Amino acid sequence: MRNWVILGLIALITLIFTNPVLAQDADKMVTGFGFFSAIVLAAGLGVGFAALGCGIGMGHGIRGACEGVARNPEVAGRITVTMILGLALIESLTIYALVIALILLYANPIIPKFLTTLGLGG
Amino acid sequence: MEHPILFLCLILEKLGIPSGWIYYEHADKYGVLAKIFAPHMVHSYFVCLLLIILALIGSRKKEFIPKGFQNFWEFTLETIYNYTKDNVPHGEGHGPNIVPYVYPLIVFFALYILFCNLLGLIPGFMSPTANINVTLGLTSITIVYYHALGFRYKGLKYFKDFLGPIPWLIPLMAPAEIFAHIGRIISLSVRLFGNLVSKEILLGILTMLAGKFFAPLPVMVLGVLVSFVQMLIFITLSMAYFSGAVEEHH
Repeated sequence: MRNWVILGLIALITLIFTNPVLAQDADKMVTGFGFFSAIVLAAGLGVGFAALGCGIGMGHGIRGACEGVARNPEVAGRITVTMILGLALIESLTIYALVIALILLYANPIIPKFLTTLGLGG
Repeated sequence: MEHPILFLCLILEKLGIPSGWIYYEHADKYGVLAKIFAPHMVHSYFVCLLLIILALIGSRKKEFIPKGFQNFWEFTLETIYNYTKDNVPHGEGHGPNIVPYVYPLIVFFALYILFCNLLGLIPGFMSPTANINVTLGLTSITIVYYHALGFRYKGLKYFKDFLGPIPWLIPLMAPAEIFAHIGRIISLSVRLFGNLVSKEILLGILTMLAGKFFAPLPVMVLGVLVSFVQMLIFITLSMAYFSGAVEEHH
């Protein structure tokens, strides 16, 4: 456990010190672990965590379907259809996270405000 | 983001119509024509035209023993009819029979969404359903229609169901029900949009990275599966909402 905490701290410190955002305009922009790095990190981590949870949920669903088919192979077709429907419903949760990530990356509503605050125009 | 090459929009552009993402982004400069002939709209018209032509070919000469296109259409429509009948109240017991009201809409959803999804797998075309406006339009059809069906079969009692069974629980139940109905709009539209747009973006990125080694090919195979499954989910959820609006709550 302590090792992981130390690893995470090292990663965070590396991120803070090794990311000059728009270094040529350093007097106006914040250097280091700034606004844009936070957006990219949030997008990636969000999709990752969503996929983690959805993977666990899908695993439970598929286990149930497999046990059902093994006990009663005659209704395999209907179980498969139900399972695929359920899987797609679970998968859509990851897709929501992906949409949020895409909004953060490509159509972020906050970036113009942020740039205006810094005086860079937007 | 960079704009992909779209053949239909290129053809229309040669004809002098402002059709393409560049015109759509500056729609205030090019007028309403740029909005009518936006790329997702053009591909949507193309799918509609394709479906109409296929239907005309299928119904041109009708035989007792179907062959070719007629056979294909009869098989498709019969499959969708049986699936609809399994999933909505069809007049058994005391429930009403809403199959005649629902079936044409379900056929439209199934064929339109399936063809839209599969169109995006051809290089040089895009999926109209990979645009939030198209999916939101399809979803609003479903939402308005199930409220109308509920009102038709239950009258004002349908709206009384929103308030819950017990009078002093109304302040708790009414906002929850309203949020459930708003959540249906978001979930139904964003699910279809997100699946299709993720497929398109993945195809684009893989083509840019390793297009000459056919890297997008496995994703295309996955895309066929996603197209069918998303169509199935959209019509299944629509039918679940229709039957939920019509059936009695206990």
